[in-house]
Amino acid sequence: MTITAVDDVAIQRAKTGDLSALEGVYRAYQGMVYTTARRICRTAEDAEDVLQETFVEVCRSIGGFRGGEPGSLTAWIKRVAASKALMRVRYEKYRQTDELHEGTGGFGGRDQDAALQFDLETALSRLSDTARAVVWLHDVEGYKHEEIAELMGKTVSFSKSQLSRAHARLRAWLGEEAQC
Amino acid sequence: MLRHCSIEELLDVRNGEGSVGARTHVDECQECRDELDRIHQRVAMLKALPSFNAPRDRWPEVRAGVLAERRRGWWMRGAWAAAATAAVWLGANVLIQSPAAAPDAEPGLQALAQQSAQLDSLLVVVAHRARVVNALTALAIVDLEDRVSRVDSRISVTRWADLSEIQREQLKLLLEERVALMDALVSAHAQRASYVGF
Repeated sequence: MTITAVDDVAIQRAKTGDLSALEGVYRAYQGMVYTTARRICRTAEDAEDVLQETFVEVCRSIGGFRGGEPGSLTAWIKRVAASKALMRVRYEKYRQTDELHEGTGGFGGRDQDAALQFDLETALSRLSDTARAVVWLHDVEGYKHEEIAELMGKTVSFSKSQLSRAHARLRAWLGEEAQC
Repeated sequence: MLRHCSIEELLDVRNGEGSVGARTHVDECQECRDELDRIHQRVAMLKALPSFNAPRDRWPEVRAGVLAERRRGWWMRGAWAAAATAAVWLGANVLIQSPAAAPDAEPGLQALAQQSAQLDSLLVVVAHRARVVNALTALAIVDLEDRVSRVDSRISVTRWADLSEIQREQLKLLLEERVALMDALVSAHAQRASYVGF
């Protein structure tokens, strides 16, 4: 993911509420935020809403942003996006049961030949919302279990268990050899 | 360790957090090393997945949301001032007026003023709880706030002393309109608050 750098002057202007500078921040980070949201949320529509909610929050709170190190703005915006996406996932759980969705995939070890045809993208989308979020945040975004637990309002062991269950399912669905 | 490692143990080993027993076992067991390799490969594949581009530009909605929040901030300060003015006037005016001049009007005005003030207080609470702005909701809220502002400005220029019967009736209509608008405004904010605070 390529992120266009936002220089310090632009960040300072954004912190004063300058709309053109805030738009610059949006343009620079929208791809990163949308990708994170798209990977965590179930639908593209939800991800778009998360994109919008994230940047409204960023515009509202950037005045209080104190990070001075390189990459700290990226990390902060990514964290806001993850938080908004997880909030959206929690909301969606009211409308459909997580485990039910995961169970309706229809190929969890039942049909190995069919499973082989599914690529990683599809397998990822078949995970429960929670498991997919944990996999993405931990394995791709580099969050620690402690950070994920804090974002989700759960325990560290919950995050670890979700990750190991997700890997077990991905392994089965992708038709990888089962050894251990 | 006599048995093979579980996935959770292998993930811990990968993160440098595995137990001594698990690490030793992985060093000595080809099968578990292969499984650990598969985990590494799977994670590499996950990291290599393509990024997405948002299908629509959401900046106009973000901008509208930001401007609506700023406007609401200004409006809230204005509304408090107008509400305070109205409350002071009504309190004083209703007490000063002779009951004989308008025997039925004062209780009506008093009740409306009280209701309006209660909605002002409620709005502060729900508007503070609801933090996410949907563009359409934001526009609806801005419209309601503008209408309340217009009513407030008409209330604030009303001469509070020695109201005629017609003026008193006009004031009553204004207060009724303000209560209805404030009720709609509180409902709009409450809807957002219940959505955000699930």
